[in-house]
Amino acid sequence: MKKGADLSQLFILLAKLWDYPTNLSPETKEVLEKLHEDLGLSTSEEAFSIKDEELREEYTRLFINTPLGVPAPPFASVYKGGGLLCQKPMEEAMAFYRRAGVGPASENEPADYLPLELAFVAYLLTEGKTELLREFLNKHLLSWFPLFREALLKAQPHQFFVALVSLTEALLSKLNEEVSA
Amino acid sequence: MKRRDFLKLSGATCLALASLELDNRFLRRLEAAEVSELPGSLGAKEIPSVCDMCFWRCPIIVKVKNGKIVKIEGNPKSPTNGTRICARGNAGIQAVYDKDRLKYPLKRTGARGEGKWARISWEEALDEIAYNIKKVKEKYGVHSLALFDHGASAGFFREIFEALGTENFSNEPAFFQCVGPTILAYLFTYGYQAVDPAKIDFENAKAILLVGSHLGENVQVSMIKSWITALEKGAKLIVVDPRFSVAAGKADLWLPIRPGTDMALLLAWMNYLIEKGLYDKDFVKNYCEGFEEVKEAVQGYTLSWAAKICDLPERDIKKAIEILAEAKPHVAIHPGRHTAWYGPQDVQRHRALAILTALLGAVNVPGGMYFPTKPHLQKAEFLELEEDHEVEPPEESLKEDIPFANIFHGSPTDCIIKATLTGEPYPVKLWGVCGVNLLQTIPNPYQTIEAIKKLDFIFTIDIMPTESSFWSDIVLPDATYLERYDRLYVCKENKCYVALRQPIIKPMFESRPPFWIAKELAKRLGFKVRFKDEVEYLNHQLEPLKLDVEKLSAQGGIAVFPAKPFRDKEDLSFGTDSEKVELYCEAFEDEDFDGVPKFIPAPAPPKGYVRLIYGRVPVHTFAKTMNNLWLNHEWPENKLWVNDKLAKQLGLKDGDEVILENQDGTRSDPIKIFVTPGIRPDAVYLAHGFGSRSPMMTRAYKKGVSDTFLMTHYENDPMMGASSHRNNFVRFIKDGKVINIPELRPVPPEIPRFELKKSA
Amino acid sequence: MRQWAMVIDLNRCVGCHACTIACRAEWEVPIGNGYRRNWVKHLGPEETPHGLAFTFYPGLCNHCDNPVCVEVCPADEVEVVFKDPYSNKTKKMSVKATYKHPFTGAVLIDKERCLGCGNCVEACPYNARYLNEDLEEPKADKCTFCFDRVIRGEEPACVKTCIADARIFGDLSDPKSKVYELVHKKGAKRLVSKEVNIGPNVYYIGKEKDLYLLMKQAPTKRTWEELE
Repeated sequence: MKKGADLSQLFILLAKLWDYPTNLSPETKEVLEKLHEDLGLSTSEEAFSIKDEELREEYTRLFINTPLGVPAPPFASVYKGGGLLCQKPMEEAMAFYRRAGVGPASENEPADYLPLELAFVAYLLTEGKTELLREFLNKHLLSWFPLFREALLKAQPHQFFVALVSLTEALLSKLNEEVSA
Repeated sequence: MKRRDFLKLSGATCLALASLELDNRFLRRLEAAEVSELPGSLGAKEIPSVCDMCFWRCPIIVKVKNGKIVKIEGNPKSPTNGTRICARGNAGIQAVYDKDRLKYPLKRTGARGEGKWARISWEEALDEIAYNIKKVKEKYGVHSLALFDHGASAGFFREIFEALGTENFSNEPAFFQCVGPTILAYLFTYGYQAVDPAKIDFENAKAILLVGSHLGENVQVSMIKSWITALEKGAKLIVVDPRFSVAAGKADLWLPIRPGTDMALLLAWMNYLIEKGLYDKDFVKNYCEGFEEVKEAVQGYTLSWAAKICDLPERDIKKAIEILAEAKPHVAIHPGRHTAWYGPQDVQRHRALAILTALLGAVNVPGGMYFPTKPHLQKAEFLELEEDHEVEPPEESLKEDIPFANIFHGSPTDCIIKATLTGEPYPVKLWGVCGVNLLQTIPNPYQTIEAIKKLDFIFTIDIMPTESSFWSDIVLPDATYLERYDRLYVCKENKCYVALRQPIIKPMFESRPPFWIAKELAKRLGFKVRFKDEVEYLNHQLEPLKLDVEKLSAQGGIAVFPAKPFRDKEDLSFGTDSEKVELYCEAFEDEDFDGVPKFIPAPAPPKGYVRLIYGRVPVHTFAKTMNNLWLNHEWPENKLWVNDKLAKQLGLKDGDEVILENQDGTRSDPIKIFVTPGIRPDAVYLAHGFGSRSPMMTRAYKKGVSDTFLMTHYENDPMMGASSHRNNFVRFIKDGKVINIPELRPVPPEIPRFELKKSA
Repeated sequence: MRQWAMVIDLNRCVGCHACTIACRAEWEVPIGNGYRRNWVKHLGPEETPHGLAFTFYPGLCNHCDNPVCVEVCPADEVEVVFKDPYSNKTKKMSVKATYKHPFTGAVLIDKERCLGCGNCVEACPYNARYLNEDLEEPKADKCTFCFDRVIRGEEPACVKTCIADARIFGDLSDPKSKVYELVHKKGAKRLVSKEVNIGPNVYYIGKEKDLYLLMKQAPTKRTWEELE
């Protein structure tokens, strides 16, 4: 089993989970539970028993539109670009993607959309572009992800998202350790 | 990378992960692209389009760099604004990149007004809307459907609702909350739509009269350019306004008129011109009907009487009319735009302005009224209806008692709301809302909310999550003007051009252009759409000009044609029944309204209260830009203008916070006061559109006070059904104590008082 | 000696704020406390000896003849070769991190060399500078008279967008320029007081009552002498 392929797969999974969920399959839930165990992360019971409807409503509330103003839009620009979409951080992300010869497949979301950035990490892992990955993490993704995480937790999300953000943080952290070594 | 120790994933996890068969669909291969490195907006790709930050629609050039919109400037090829655009135009970029903009179709999951949403697909959203339209139509009849529409997106939906057959296929706030009264007045006097935009040649005027217009603070770029040019050329400016506006600051004469008495001033002026023989005799003789009726109707309205009623120095009233008479016929009298002030008599006030204009001969001459030149475009109907398509009017129309409502498409707003609330004359059970911020626009929003609660279904199409979307069952994200085509912009001023609005970038997230949304909705309702896409639709319109979208864009986005604002005297006729300017309006008399305006004052404030009046700020557009990052930063909240002598008497200082309580006991959020000599002591003034009640508008929420939420009282104009916005009265609450406002300017007995309800 | 200058016509200005938004858009000035390169202050309505007035103070860096901000910059002096954007001439000068451009008179900041100490921000009596602390390293920032645009034949952003054509930009040393005419023949005034007169190159014209209100905005504190 190639660990490189596994890691890449993990990040694609994360990318999908941070994108709008249409459903959370039992298989996916299983993987998530096991991952948490493996990484020694504690989660509450309810985290993975979230119903689809609830997941959709909670996702909309946290990341799309909500009565309290969208609390945690998953775009780097909001945290490092003055509260707006499509600012310098987006251009930064695009610059990184271009260097690897790729770009977003869909034009719906701006380039600094979290799932896109995680998918990019997965891509760099698959291609073995360690140098670029290290730069991407240190100069970009890890500079805004903690701010996003803070905003998310402040919005008192469902335990599912608490679990998901802990998982993502742990994996990014470990990955960064590895590539910086 | 030491793969061995990196992640201790159990075998089970790895197996489970592999079974998901994930592939990286998020990315694709990309060729290297040119990245511009020049500073600022230099080196950008330039695309011509048309602004939509307000309704004036100045042609613009949008600069795109590395896929991002970086700057918006005026289009140098535009004969009206050239390279100039206002603060809102410049801030259009923010509308696109606002993190709070509507991104995906949303469905309400909690109770109406609770604000709980789930994202759904376009399929589901459109299916649901179509299903409900059909269901409500079945159950209650077609007239139970109503569309609240405004702006560039609304046209296609209006066509759909009209085709469905409801008489309530439109009720634009643009008419019923705004420009309606003066359009009606000028239409019946001059026989053409002279008001929107105001077809007045400011630039060449020798004297300019503004009555209740604060041009300069309401920004209409080309009009301001024209006005300022006139001032620089030495035109005399007379401003009639209870507030010392920016325009008043540039005026030769400021008449701080008692609110509600403009009619007295206008009638006295008309009488003065006639009595002294200072009116334009030739113009009246050759081009007007009804002079004798006017002469008779206005005799007795003296300047000294007006001075008493209007609380103005007689010498200033006289000086003003003499300036106008001296400058005739090159006098620019602004016809008014937002004129839904008091309800009854609003139309007549603008009839008086129209008559005054004619008496001064300020028609079809430089400096006066002109005629627009229409470019030869082909009409394009969105829907292709069957030959035998018919719509049936209702047994009893809800605008039955409003004789001139039919001049405008659809029905008066208030009629629709009342029908929704009461079920009379028939129930209205479904609202479509397109580009209208219902609760910040229509007076008595509390009543609007009650009406919404009675609906079977309500859907909204918008760009931002305004107060209306808060109460909707389905919310559809509209693409911004920078992300779509819209119908061609035809200049209706004294220049003639056609301008193209085209997408600068692809719509973000899943927002969609109104053509697409309307087409999908139309299909589901069984209608055929005539055109494949917007380009086909626009090309159809452009055909007679031998242009198409591509050519028009390639030539800079604008096609300019020769304009003829003034007709040859021999050819001068008007679109009225008599083909002359109708100083006396028979059509009004036939419906039991005054053929010549009479003085009927708006009631004065009750003792202890002052009138609440409002206006615009140059940095915002009504209630729609408050959440815009740059504009909000520039002007985040409104302040209450309070007369300095009044403030002193009440012991209030500049910057103090008060709460307003109106005649119905409705209270506002706190607002800071701005103590100034620039407002009468019987009125307080604040800028419209602030005090957002929608928490979704994160930057605008509760900043300042909403004038609309204090307008719990309104009266309708009986002629065309417009609302009123300036007959609410307030007193202050400070530190929990009610402060009754002393009357510093006595009210003459001719003016009745507004009567407080006993229960208030 | 070319000196870029601006004249603002208060007879024309309607206080629409287009200039501030255009500037912010052009130079991506972030939203922050006091982060702006230009501003529009509202003056009045207020009684003056010449009548009730309501006008504006559209302000920006004055690119002064004697820029005190340049004096207080603590960065080391370095030799730089400047090119004249209008001819082939060059000039070698020793400058710190902020300097007066020899061929245009614009006061500019070299962002690479700026130490972010904030001295210049505090020194300016017009409050025309701000310290951008949102960056990785804080940097001073201010109006550049749109140097990069002007040398490429474009108008400054604020001038281009002004809906009332109230901003006139040009070379004060050129007797044929409009700014020259307004300053030397039409009595345009600059915001100076007896305490503070460092030769600002932004002038104003307008009605007596409007200039009366405007002149009250002239700085009187010699802020550059109050630095620690």
